[in-house]
Amino acid sequence: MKTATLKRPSSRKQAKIVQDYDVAADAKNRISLRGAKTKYFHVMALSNGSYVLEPRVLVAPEAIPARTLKMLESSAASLKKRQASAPIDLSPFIAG
Amino acid sequence: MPFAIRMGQPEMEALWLDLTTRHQNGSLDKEDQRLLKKLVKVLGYLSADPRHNSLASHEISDLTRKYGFKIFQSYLENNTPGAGRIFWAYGPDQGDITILALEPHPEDQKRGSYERLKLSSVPAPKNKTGGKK
Repeated sequence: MKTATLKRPSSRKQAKIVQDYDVAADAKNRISLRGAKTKYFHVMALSNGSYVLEPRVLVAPEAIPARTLKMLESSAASLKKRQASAPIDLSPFIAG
Repeated sequence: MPFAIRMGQPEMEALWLDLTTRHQNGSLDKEDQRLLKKLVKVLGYLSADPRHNSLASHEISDLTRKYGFKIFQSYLENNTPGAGRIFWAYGPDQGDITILALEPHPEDQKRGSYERLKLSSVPAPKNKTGGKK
């Protein structure tokens, strides 16, 4: 399965600081990200000791066909606005 | 208490309306008849118990993370490689399930889908007048 990647933002200047905190690495050099919105990150260690983390997703768009994904996106957008069809009636099909 | 099944707007609702209308008219082809039969069976199970064994329902965590609410996947068939699947979510109200998408998309499997494309009309060629004779 291919790993999908998010496109890098065209300009990092657009990003705003939403959290600013200090952390200490534990005995195994691990740090915790507070309120991380994605599970996977690409990590770049820079020569000046900085680390840059960029979010990555593992959903391969190819795994769900484009038309299904489009359908899913439009339905999900409507559902977020609490819009959906009226409840469907299955009884004519089950009885028949 | 069974769940009320709703269709996602606009595409799933349109697809369901198309299938049911053509079923009533008796104009469903064999492929679509098979699809409707499977869909009705799965929706019946989903309404009664979303965790029904036949559905093999499970959450797709990556889609959940992407859209911000829990999205589940259930299979249309058992023991069939490449079986169709539906994507669904709870809501918009309590006791509701909304079908978000269907895979494979019915149009993908139909032969001759290009034949149903509506072509734009070709503008009539302009008659050249006033040329030198």
